[in-house]
Amino acid sequence: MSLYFEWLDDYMEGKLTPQQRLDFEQAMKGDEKLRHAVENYPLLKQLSASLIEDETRQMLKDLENKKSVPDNTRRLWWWLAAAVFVGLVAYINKSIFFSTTPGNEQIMADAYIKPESQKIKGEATDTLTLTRAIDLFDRNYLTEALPLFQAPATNDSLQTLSNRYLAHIYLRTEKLTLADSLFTILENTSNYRNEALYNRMLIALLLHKKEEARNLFNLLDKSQFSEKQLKKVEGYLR
Amino acid sequence: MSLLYAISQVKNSQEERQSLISGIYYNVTIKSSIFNFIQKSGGERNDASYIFDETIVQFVKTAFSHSSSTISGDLEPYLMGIARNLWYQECKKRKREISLPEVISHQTADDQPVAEEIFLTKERYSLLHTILDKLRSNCRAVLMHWANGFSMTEIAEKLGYQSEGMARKKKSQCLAELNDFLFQNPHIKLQLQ
Repeated sequence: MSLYFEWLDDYMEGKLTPQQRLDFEQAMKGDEKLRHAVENYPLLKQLSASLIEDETRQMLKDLENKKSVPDNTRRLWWWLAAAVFVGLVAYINKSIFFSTTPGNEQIMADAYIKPESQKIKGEATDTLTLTRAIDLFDRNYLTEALPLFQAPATNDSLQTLSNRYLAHIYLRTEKLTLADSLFTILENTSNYRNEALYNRMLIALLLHKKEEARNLFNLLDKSQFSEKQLKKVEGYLR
Repeated sequence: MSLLYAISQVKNSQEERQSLISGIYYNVTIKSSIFNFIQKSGGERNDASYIFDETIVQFVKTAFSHSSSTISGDLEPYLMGIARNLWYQECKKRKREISLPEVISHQTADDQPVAEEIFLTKERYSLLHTILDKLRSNCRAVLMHWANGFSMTEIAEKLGYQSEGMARKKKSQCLAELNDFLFQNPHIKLQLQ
């Protein structure tokens, strides 16, 4: 970029000294892009001014999508409720007649800890998408939240946050290998180390790898969990 | 809500804008006033929905570039004024004959918004969005404030630049980036003009 770009506004508004003006015009002769900027200054300014409109329309679009999610999924909820009911009946029958060992659903119900909702800071566009994604996750619209978290973020801390939620979505949708690999990455971050270890332990339990689960349990900082929670988990580790 | 407070929310930060827009979007009173007006003036429900969204866009645009602090009154009647003007323009565009005396009187009032060039065609808007989307988000913020009349000191303060000079430098880089894009895509420039 030519240094003279910094003089562009002053040139257009006639604020340069006669000497600066001459210098600027001299620079323009040898710089096609600078000349282009001068010729198209009104268009550049108009485009820049319309960024506020663009931002507002994107926000309205997000609100419109947000509004339509519950409508579209209302029917799904009935199906989900029916499925849960059928599943529950099947589970009770299975428990009574066939087995006394806990199923994965039971382990998830007892041991899974949903991450607490959090506010985020960062670049405007990313923040908007992530806030929306977290909101969907909090309301259990995992399918809708998934692509929003999968979009690449522009900085490491937002990417880590996306990975955290992605890992939880994979865990809750039984894509255990994917979940485990993301939690392994998160294990190296100071903020999410304990959460990642805990969830890797949970995944090991779901995959019936008790020995691995015990090892991961031993690495946990237990002060971050309630006694009740730890006892439940220990029950599964025996 | 007072109009002055709403304007300050638009100007303060993206988070505050988002919260205000969401507040208006879900405000049943404002929404039903606009919907009732449009539907009583011969519009369909989807016309009302369109005007409602455009009213919010127009309000944010106007408020963001607004510099006077002497404005008074409430937000709701102001938004109604915008909706009326937009609907009047839309009807004129469709050459529909409707009687809207209130609308005409609103157009002449000094404190009422003028809804000009709000109706972008879908194609034009999509083209604009394609261009603006090429800019990185920090560039979008700097250029958006600059082109809407914020001073370099205000930009530095709002967007966290260490000095006015740093903000100015960033603005020049971003403007050069936008200029490069148009320079390399003259067909887009022609379509916009």
